[in-house]
Amino acid sequence: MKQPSPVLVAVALLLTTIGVATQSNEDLPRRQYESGLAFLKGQRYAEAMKDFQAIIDSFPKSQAADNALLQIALYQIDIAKDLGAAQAAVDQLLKIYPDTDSAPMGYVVGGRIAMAKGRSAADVDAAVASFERVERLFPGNDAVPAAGYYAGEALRLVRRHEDALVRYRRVTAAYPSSPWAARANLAAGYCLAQADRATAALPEVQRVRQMMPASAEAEAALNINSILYRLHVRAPKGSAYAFSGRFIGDERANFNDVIGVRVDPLNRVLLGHNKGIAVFDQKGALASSVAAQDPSAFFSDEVNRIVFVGKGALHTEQVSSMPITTPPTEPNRPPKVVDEMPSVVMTSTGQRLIVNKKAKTVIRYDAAGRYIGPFTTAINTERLAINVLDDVAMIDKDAKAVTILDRAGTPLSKIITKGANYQLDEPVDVAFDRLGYLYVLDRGKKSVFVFGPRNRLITSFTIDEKSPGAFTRARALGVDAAGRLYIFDEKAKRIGVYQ
Amino acid sequence: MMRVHRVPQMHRALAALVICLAFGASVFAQADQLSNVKGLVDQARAAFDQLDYENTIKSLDSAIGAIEARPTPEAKPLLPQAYDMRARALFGLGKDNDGRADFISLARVEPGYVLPGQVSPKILAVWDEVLKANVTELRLTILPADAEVLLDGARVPANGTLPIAVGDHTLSVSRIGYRQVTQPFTAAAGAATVVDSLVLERTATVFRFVTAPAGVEVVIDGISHGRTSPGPPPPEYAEKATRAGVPVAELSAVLTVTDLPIGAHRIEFRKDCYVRAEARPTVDRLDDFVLDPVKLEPAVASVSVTSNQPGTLVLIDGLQRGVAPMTINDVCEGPHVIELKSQSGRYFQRVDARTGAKITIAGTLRPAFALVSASGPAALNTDLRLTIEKQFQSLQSVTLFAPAADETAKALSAEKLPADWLAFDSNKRALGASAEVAAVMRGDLSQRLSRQFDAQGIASVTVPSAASRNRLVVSLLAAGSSDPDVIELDLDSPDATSLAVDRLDRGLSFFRPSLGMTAVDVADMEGPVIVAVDPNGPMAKAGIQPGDVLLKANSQPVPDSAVLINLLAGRKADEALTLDLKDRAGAAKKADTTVYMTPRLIGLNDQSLMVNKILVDLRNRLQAQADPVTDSVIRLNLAVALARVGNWSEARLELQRVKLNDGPGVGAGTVHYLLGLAAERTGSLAEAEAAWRAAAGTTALETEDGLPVKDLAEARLQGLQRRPSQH
Repeated sequence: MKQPSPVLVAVALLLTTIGVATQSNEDLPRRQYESGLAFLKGQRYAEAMKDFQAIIDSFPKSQAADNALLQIALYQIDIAKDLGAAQAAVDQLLKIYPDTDSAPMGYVVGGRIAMAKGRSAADVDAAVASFERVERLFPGNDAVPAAGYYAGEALRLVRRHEDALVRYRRVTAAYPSSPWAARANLAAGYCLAQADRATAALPEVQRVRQMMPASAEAEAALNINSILYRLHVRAPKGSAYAFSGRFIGDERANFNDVIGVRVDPLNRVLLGHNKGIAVFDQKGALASSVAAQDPSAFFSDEVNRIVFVGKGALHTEQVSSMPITTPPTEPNRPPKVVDEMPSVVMTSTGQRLIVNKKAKTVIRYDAAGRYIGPFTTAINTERLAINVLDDVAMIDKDAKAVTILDRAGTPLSKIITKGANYQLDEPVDVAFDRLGYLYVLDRGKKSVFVFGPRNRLITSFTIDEKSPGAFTRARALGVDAAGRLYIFDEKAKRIGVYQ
Repeated sequence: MMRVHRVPQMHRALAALVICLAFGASVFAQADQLSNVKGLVDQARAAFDQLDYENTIKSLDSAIGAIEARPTPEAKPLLPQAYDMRARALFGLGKDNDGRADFISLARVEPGYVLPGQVSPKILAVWDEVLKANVTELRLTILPADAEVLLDGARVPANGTLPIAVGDHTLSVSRIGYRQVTQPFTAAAGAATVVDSLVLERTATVFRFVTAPAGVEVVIDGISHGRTSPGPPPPEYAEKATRAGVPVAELSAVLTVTDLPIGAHRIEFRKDCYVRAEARPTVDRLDDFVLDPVKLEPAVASVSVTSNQPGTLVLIDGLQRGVAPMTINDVCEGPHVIELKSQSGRYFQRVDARTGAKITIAGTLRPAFALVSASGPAALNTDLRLTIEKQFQSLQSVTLFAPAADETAKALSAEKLPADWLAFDSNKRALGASAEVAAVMRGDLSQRLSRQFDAQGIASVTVPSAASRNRLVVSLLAAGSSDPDVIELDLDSPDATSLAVDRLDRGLSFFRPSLGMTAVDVADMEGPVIVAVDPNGPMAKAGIQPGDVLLKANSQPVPDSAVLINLLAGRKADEALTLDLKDRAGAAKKADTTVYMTPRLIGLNDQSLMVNKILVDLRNRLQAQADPVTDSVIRLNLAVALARVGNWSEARLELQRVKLNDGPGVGAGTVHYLLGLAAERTGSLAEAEAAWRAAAGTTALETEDGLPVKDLAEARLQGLQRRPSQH
């Protein structure tokens, strides 16, 4: 029998050794990557970032390294809202790993960063170019539908609804079974609603429930179509809303000293009062509460923590408080503490817009409470609302109107006191739903007015004083993801649910 | 005297030389020579009979000269009688010395010659004298008796006495299995030469085989010793054949094998399609062994083949055997590839035929992709095409097969294509030479190569990265397609293969049941809300209006649209449904309606479709007879698939054959819209505009769940208006 050549044996042994070594070299970074993902899922971001960074530092040539960089970029843009850090991660990804599976999504994140930085025509062009690069460079990659979706988003955020619609429909037509198609369908529903084509939006959004019935997007579709149904099918022939017979909280609960009602992204109903913030689940049961002394305004932040303002400070649940001040107006004077802050909202970039009642201004702060600058001035307002485009609606108490400004603080439009088919008497609260419809609670009229695109009144809703659920002395309004209204009435001392 | 004797001899020699030269220069071969010699001898005999000795000698001079110059086996036997006749003629002319010389030549040429006819005593005396001086006897006794004995190269009997010429001779004795003996000797006049008891020495065994049929390979102890050639064998085998029960006519010639050493041996008799036979003789001495004729029994199975398509060709191991349905009774034992082939598909089955087995094959022809190339850093000596063929063997809707490597190499070489001409990565990025192949060229190549391999499409396999050689990307191109489908496989992950198979096998349906309305789910509502109703559909006829809420169908609760879809999924056309609803005001209402089937259409831009696979599938389906509506819907889907792979002109032809009604969903409006796109792509803007105007006037949808073609067509018309004028 022929003996194998010693050279062949040596080569075979070498290959076997390399194989084993490669396997073990990949094993550790892979496990570390999975560990990072688990931390991310559990919202333990610091640990997650540690794992991802360790892969990049210790195993830069492993197959997990590019994925780790991508996860860091996503964390920085979505959670930390640190655009600089996100950009650095993306740049590193595209420079070192340009041909990996993560590179296409790197371009997508790059485009998103461009959009988060600004919404000028140049910003939009840069973002869309980054998204379009994905399909050109990686035509069959899974990131292509994501890039298409975000291209639509870039256009939607600057109100180019028809152009955005074209982009979304490209995604739904080309990748109908992709999760990005579902998101594109939902966003297309938004665009159609904003283009006064709500009836066309209904089947478009419903498609998500057929294509991905068990998904979060299907739940979102249900919510969006619920809004559209009430405002465009049930109304105008019938009343868009009716009292559900339900109240938030215990049957016998009476709420006093209420400062406001909000519905957060988790669809929790937040009730602010002089002792703190009560958090109710979707069924109206008290889930938790955050103690506070005389808070004046509140919201839930990017990671769903309760944030409130009061007594000159910004308080974040389980985080030390930060004083809210404005720069001194004269040299060598200390910053001035803002002590009356009746309303606060958070922008998509994490900025906090706080009403300074005494100064009749709205001021920008970052997430740590650091002063950024004025948002708008010379307005007597106690109530703000913000939508997905970062448009801010504020009740102008003096004018009994609602002023709407864009994310830069530039006035966009105004809902004047008296318009076609409506007259505002005593607007006390405002809220946006996820389609951008604006809800104005008018205490004087005991009504809720719903305004659509171009501030056109879509419908109004009131309940006869003697009927159950009547809100004769309404004070605060919240709108949930499905467009249900939560109205606090000072007379009833309860939050009624209207659907 | 001497001069007289010599002159004629010189003449004869010159004549012989002339004849020889003439003959030598002639292009005529031996036959002509023989004919001439015979003619000369005949002339000589005629002259001799008339006692014309002069002419007799003249003719014989020429004849003998010719024979001596070219002593061919045919001419040589004429020489003794020529010498005899010329000698007697010379005696007749009184030239006794010359006659005597011819007798001496005659005795040396044929020592056993007997003078024929009447001979004068004088001549007889000369002849006897010549014999006495020139001829003696050889006595032979040789063993074995069947040895071949050659005396001066001429065969002679092994035993007996024979006359030989006086002088030097060589005796050669040989026989297979024995050592040859060569013995020179000198025969003296007047005394017999005796070769007595010459016994050859045995040196080897000898086996003799005869088989039925001929052509059987004889393998002894694993070493082939040749094949038997067609018979017949020597007559002595007749009895053996009878004993073995084999017709003599079937017997082969004898195959002789020598040199088998002492000991036990294993002799195998092999022939394709016959049951092997074996013998295990033991050689205990050097001897001859003659086996009885070996009869091999045929080893065949019968294969019955049917096909789902008429006119299907049946091939076994690549050889065409006929048209299905058929039964082939002579399929040799062993592994075979049974292949069924038609214009629209192929079917393969590997069978291991056992003798006497009856194999039934019911082939379902599927569209086939021929794996024509493989590229990338594969493992050594691995044909990736065979790997892919194996990975995809569980496919139900199409077949991927690897033609013989030399055939594909030849085909690619003829097209001047490198192995990576169709190489893509999983992101569908062209790799290597693939990037240099233009789409139009790829379409032409897919058409030609598909035709060459009798397939409906072609495929390639690529290893995109040396870092992960087990990750393969298969690219599929239907015939005429320029835009490939790519599928990634990970050989380390069976799940990846299963997913790929599922993706390729994903079926198409051309109709779905409908009620002619759109319903959406709404939070806090107990059933789906109807938001749109087809004005000509059954729901509108039943009085259903937008805003109504569907509660039950045939008394079954319908809490949401998913339940409604499931409920409809199993329904057939015209099936009745009783619906319970409530109107906007909350009042209960009932409606009786019927289900109808609405066409389905693949998305023109749907990148998740394996469009090349769909294309071959649809082409296949069109082969089957279908009702006109189904045929139209298949053609419509085929047109979209063709458009997807860039073949707009063929797409347009298919669209022109589609006949669908107007109405919501996929219908005539859809066809108009697509015809507009095809017309635009093929440069007919006027036709495109007309088609889009027709589409804009309909309520049709792009696909069953797609956008209204009205919107799409209007957008296209606006686009046309924005174009710069052609004038």
